[in-house]
Amino acid sequence: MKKIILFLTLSSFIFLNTSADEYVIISNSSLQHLTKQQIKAIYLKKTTLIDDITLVPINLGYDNILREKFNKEILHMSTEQLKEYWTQQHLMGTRPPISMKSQESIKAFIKNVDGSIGYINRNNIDKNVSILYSWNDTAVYTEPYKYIAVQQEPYKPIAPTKYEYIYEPGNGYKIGSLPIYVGAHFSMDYTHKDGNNEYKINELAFFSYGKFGKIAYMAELGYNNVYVSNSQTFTEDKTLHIERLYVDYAYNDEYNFQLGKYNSPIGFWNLLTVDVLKETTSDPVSTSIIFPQYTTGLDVSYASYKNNNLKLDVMLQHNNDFDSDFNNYKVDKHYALGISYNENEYSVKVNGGYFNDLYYAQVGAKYETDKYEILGEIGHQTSKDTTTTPYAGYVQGSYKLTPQHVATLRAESYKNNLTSTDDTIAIAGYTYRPYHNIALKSEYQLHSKQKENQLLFSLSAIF
Amino acid sequence: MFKIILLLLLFLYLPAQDKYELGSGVQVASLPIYIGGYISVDYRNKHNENRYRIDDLAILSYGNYKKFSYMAELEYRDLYTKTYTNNNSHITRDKKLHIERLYTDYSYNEHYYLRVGKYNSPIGFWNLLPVNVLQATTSDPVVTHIIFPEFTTGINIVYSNIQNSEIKIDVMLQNNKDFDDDYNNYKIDKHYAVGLTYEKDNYAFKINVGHFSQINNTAFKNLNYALISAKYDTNKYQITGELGYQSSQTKTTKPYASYIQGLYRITPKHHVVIRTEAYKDNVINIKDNIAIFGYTYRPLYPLALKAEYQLHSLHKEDNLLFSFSVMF
Repeated sequence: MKKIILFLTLSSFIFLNTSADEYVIISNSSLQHLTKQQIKAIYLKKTTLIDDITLVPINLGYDNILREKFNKEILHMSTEQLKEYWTQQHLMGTRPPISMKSQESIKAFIKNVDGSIGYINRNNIDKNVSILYSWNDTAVYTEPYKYIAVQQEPYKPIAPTKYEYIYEPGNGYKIGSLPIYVGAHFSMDYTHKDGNNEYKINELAFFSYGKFGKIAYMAELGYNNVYVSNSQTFTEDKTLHIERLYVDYAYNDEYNFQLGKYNSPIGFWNLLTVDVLKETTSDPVSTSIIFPQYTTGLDVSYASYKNNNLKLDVMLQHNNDFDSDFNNYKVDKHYALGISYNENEYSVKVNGGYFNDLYYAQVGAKYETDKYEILGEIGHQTSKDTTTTPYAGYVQGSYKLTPQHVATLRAESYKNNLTSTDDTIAIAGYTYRPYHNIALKSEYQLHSKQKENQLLFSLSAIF
Repeated sequence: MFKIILLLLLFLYLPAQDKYELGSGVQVASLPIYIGGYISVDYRNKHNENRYRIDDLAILSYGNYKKFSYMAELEYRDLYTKTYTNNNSHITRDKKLHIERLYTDYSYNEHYYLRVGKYNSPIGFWNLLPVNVLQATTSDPVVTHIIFPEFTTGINIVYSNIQNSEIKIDVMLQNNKDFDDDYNNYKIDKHYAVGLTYEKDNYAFKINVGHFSQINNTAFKNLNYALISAKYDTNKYQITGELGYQSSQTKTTKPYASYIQGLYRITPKHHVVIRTEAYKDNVINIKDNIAIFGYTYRPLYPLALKAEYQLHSLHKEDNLLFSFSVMF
């Protein structure tokens, strides 16, 4: 029994001694001990003298594992912080410590250069050097970077029942066991333009959709510009608008009929009807002047999903709009055709149509990856007698710095002969999405017409 | 200008011990002498005016030998400026080479060192990084230009004590004219000031007080100032603030000038900045509140592309800035 206890004790002692590497800071000087703060000051060249000894600190290379441990334990700085610090110190006339390739090089340098200090593994130490400070791997995981091991129960998935639905923000709420979902979205924004400030509750909308067999529906009612306040006026619009109201019938895998009021499937931007889904607060001018944003009538679509994705849309309207106040054009006729082609990251769209004695054509293209998106559209509009809008187009690039942070640049240009206006616009925007269904955006627009320059902020969300 | 470029090229060809990295300067042969430089260009759009500018072009040299070290920095400022207003354009050039810094340090021991020459007044935090590429935004907070002299030509005695925290005391003494008084925000022939700095972990605090005398201003010749500063800096974000006050013997010239700035490092290469400033200047009867939104992209740390929008309570001052800067 005693032998067993002795064996276990010795084993645990060996285990304890070999379970964590130990590191030392050494010098050939007469210094015996330094505090961590003093070592940090020496390595950051805040001091080069201690007890009248000129100290020469030595580092390992940035990519050396022991260097990383040293930076964490002693300097409390990351590699990026150190590179930033030494660039600043270069301006101040201070050089970083010399870097050596290996611990053997450090030992050789310390042996030959008075006042030099460096760091190595304890088990690599030679005689005739003084140990100024030591630490081990467990210390790296305690102060100030605490590492806590958590025991967790193995995950047991619960099979969803027929009546069980778990709400996720941005995905709508299911009504009981019915195939009916409800959701909402809102947006508010602030604009600063030509010395004036405008605050607006822009959108507040409720929608419901569902699917039963081959039939699906969408109904969306909303308030637009509910509240607008600037230095001169204050307006409220409490009219509840019909934004979308349609029924879909999926004839088969390829053919679909949509009847009612819907977003005209023209270009890419017009299909993102909600502020929270867009990369900027403002919309490109081309999306509001070339074609009607909404169509009330029939949309017949054909889609093929083989190696690529080809879609044809035929839009037919020969009646007044549902709620013509909620459209950029009041139309009672709209006939249009669209072709979309999508392969991997690329999408291309061509649209042409007729409404209100006006003809239009638009081309759009998109390239989208996990990290960035490039999007562009250009349109042309004409009547029988005159070219109303010779061109209106934009090119936009969005870059996902991280999944939550997106930077956007957009260039727009248009000419409108009806209002005798032309403008070229550069837009720089930034979007922060703490969650996928919430967006905080900022945007600056630089116009060739300088009075139109403006700064915008917005907050939007979808539930 | 061309002579300096040729001299720089010559030094670059001398074999050095250290391998060159951008932002770290070039060693001259095996001597303990280093040469570097920086450049910045910017664009500004402000109330119907577009301005393009080569702002800074500087060369610096420093080195140390035993207890001595030196710094010399020469700079062109506003080297080339082209301004468009309505349909007119206007070009200005300033080809004068300025002495920005020129000093020698002597390290007496681990606690004391002495600096003699022209140096950045060690007041607040912002004034210690006077170079576009090292700053968070293209523009500087107003407080750094109007409260105290940015440069001092004289002696700086420094005491520092590093234990668990760091304490530093600066005493600045100037009783002479500046080296190159065109290159200072105030033309002074006297400056006496004391500064106290305390740093621990991520925190830093500073208090500065001083007195300076202007050469070319009889109405407000002698001015006193005080400034307090604080900073909190982590790997991910930094918060900095400074608040200053200035008065003459008869009048409060600047009752307040301040800023608070937050910098967030989205990634090591992408930073966003928000800064608010407020100041009141009784000498020129101006008061302004400013909100600044900035973004910096550093493909490498010593290279910065920045964008910034300033929103002023004085509406005509709203402006948009872009800049590119790099340090060698």
